[in-house]
Amino acid sequence: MIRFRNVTKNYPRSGAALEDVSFHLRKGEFAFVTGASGAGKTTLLRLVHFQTLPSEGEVRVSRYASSKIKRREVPDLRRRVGFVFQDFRLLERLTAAENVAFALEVTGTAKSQIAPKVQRLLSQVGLAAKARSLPSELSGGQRQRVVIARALATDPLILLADEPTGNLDPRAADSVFELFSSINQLGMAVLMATHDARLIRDHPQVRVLELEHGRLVFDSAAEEARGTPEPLPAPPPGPAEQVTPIAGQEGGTG
Amino acid sequence: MRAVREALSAFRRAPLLGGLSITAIALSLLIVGLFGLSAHNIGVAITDVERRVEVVGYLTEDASEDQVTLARREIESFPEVEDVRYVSKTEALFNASRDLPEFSDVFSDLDVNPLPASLELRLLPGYRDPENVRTVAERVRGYGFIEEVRFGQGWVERIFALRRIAGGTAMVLGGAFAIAAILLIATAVRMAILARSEEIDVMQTVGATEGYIQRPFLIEGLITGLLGGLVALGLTRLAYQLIHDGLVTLQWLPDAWVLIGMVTASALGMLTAGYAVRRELGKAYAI
Repeated sequence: MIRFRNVTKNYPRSGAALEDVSFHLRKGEFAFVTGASGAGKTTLLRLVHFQTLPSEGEVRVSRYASSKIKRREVPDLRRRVGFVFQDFRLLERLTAAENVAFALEVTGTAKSQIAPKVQRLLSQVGLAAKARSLPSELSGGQRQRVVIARALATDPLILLADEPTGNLDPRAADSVFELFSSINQLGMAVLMATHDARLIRDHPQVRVLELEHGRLVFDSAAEEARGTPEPLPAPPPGPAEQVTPIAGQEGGTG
Repeated sequence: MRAVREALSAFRRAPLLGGLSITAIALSLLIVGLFGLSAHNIGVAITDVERRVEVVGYLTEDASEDQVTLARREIESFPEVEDVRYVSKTEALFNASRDLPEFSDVFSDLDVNPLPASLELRLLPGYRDPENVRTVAERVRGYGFIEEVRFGQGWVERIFALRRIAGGTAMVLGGAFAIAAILLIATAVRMAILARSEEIDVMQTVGATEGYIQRPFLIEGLITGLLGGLVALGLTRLAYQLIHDGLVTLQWLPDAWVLIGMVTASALGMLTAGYAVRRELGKAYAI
């Protein structure tokens, strides 16, 4: 489903954002991508979404490989990969239903199918009653649910989420996580970037990919396979804002 | 249809920006239009003068009628020659009396007509340049009964220098204003993209195709270019009417020029918008 093979991403000004990262996320798997700010979480998600290309190595998502994909194929890939942002990015002038419908319209869904699908998606995220509300009338958690419904509009195989609980209080964060979890149980792979140590700690069944200075220093699936749930050796010293270490927790796939 | 709706709604959403873009493009194109009008009228004047480019071969006194008739036929078959007219000695004297009335007494008192007969050659359009005129003159001079050939070398060369300067200036100024129009359209499209950046961002994220995202901007560019062109055309026509009625008689631009101007303005708007939008959107595709 998602395969990173020795992926390095260099930016001309800031240098390496990711260095020699390799992992494989299978169909229906759930994984947290964690690490401090600047560790490379967002870059990793952007690579999966083909918003940027690796400087070295290869990213493979579904049937598309970074070394071979053509520009005209990117939209098709993105329909297979839903994206949820921390800052929601809802269109403020549109209602919740219209925001979801917008994604369907612009991806060429037949008009007759849009309304029933919007209703189904909003029900799926528990927001059927708020269909006509503007984003400004919704709480943070509710907004994030609209974003999730929008991300699901194209029936993706993978759901990417960049700090989706970052702007939410713990209760709303748990609720949003439960939604991701239920979506994952329907067979969709989920890759969620977060530095919420509590969320990670509370869900030990979820695979954890920990980044530090652009390097993958811990992969709970790999550790579990080895039977030694310890951090990968020799990570460089982390910055002061390093998240609560999650290395050593129980790993596992979702 | 959606693309047209979106393009029109962009004008409704930001009428000031749309209006400014159209005005800026119209002003640029107005200058192109006024220059075109001047260039066209200069061209008409030059063509009129060029039409008078003649090669005159003066005949010797002993030239026989047969010789002249034969030579005339030969000269008429030159590829550069439009027609050849024989001017007899009598006609030459008549013309001189008519054209120089102050000397009419002198001409009427003459016992012997001193003016020679001549062959007057007019050249075809495209052959009225100094090089061709000189070539034809040399060939005519080759006939034994031709005493002298005149073709006003000095002013022929000046006319063609003037035409070259006018053509070159038109190219440079037209190009400069076209570039200004391109930059304005590109800026207007970039601003329109910025105004809709959130929507575009969402469209790119959920997988809308580039063509779907680009089309409204292309149509917006086309409409902007076309409206700018129409406003410029109206203003140029107004300027023409004012000059024509109050100052000097002018010729209006040929229909083909107007049509080419409108098509160019629209195409320029669309192509510039296409380039600008592709450049802006390309950042999100990484490829």
